[in-house]
Amino acid sequence: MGMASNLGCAEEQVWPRLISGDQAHFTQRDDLVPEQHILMGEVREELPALPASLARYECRNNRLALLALTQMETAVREAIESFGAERVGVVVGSSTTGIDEGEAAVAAHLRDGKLPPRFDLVQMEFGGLAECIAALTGARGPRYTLSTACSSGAKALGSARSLIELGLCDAVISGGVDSVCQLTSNGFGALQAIAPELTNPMSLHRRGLTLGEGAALFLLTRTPGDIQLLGVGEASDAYHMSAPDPEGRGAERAMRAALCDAGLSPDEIAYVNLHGTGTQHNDAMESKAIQRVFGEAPPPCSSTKPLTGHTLGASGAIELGFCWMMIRRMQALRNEEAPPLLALPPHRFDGERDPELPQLPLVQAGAEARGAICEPVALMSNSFGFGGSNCSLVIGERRA
Amino acid sequence: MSALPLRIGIAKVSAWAPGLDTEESQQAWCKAPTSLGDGDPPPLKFLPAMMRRRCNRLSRIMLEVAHRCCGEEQLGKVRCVFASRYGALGETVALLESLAKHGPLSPTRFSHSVHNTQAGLFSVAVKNRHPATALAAGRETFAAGFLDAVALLHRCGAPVLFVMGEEPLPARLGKFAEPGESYQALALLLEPPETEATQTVSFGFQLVEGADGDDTEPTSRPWPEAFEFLRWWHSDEPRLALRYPNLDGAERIWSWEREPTPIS
Repeated sequence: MGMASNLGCAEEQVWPRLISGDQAHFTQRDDLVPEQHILMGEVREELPALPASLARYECRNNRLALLALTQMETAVREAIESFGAERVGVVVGSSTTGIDEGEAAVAAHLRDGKLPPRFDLVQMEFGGLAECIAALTGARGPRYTLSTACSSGAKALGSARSLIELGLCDAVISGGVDSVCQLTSNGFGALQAIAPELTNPMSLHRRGLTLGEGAALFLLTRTPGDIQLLGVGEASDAYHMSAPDPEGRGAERAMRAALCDAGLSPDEIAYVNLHGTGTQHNDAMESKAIQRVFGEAPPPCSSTKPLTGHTLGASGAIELGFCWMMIRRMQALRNEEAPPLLALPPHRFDGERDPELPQLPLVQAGAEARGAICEPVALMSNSFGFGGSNCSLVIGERRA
Repeated sequence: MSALPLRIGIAKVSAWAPGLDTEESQQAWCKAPTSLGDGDPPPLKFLPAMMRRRCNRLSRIMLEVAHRCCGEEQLGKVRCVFASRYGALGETVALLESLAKHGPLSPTRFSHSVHNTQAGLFSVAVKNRHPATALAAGRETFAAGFLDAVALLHRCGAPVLFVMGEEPLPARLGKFAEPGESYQALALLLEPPETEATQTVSFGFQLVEGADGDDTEPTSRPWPEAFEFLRWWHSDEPRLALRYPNLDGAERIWSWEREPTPIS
């Protein structure tokens, strides 16, 4: 797995920040929305340039992808060597791609009547992300980009797995990449969905989301690893284009489908990473859906968006990446004498619950799930997006 | 794990292009194909007026073919894959122009400029709660969308609706336009192979090394992939192959081959 977010890239850097609930990694940007300061969970690392042969793909989004790819270079190369390049595919999700290049290009065209010389449509085309990743890695199998708003990264993983099941690929590079741009900052602002301060999910005083950017890419392979994508569940709300079904029925269906696909019952899930965007609508419907699926004793839950911001099309993949890290850390600490120790990312908010919402067991800082965890461990990650697109993923230790 | 090539049943094919609104006109076009022209979108009578008003040009044609391709009972039951190379790019460029001029952004236009706008509108319009996806893959968008639909069919064994639609690039990006890009849409209803009343088709992907000459040049076919598929569908050619160059000089070939209908 390779990842980049405002919390960093290398696992050693990200993990302590994730597990302590570090909210110190937001930048105030006043250049994105006229006359407004907005907080942004930016990737602060210097991004690697693309090779000269791929200059036409140059944009922040593709550089974020490259940053994630460099962390999994060896694994990808080995997959290509053992399976053959044409058996390695790319299925990724994005809601922005290189729109920031498009913003600059359109502005230049309005001003000067021509596009900047280094602008190429492939930077802004959704298909460009998958093409670029294929070109960077040498993967020659099928490649495409899913774009279903906030569920893009999660759904990409589901499609990637399907290609392997179909027998067309033996390995697929999959995940999500999204980057800072004016369009999403202004667009969500126009929808009055951006919180004036840091996002405050599940709070009585929640006022919307905080944006972020990043990438998380996984190598899914036919040969089962220690950590597996156990279940994928998807459903549509069929309710409204920009507001979720208030009862969360689509979210519920997606979670139940993921559990069914994984062959697990709700009490076998040790933790749920919430979509938890901090909007009035999402948090209400997600709480209701979780209560219906998990009944009286839901597992500990948290939203990690107060740490990273809402990374939109990348969020499903980044948050699954956090679940992946949690399992790895638990596996590293495992010994026969003590019960398994699963450290959980805290749910950062102002502590004031919304009494109208089913009260979920939100993780407090320093909490660990110990002893009562079902083994092999399984975790769930939710992503619910515009157009009523719902996706729930279950990730866990290999099952016999 | 299914053996390659992949076999699916195609139950129905629906298409729309300006002036090619009917089966008859489409079949006539298939016999003497030419570039497709521009024109007004279909009236979309099956949608209530308020929803219809929300549909831009691309949404209109994709929803029209989606609706034509499914029987009343199927509309709410099919899983969907919506594919478009450029999707809402026209809308997006209009929004970027507003941004460049520091003008206000319309929240409705923003939420309707996501790539899965058509998937969302369709699911709301026909109350379809099944999974729906939207994707793009550059020149290979048609083949990649078809593949994702086949993967979905394989996974869930239930009928899958594949919809491909496109509109020409906005004028500002005109320099990137490629031959054949035009305002049109195609929908296919896919079912398991050998389902009654379907044509079973074998679908395959292969990479051929070091192919040289014209085959690896980008196509100059004056009509888009979706309509090339339509042309093949109405012909008696056993096989359709769509070819694309890989960056390293190899050739990527997607193929569809009709299986003879068994004699009952």
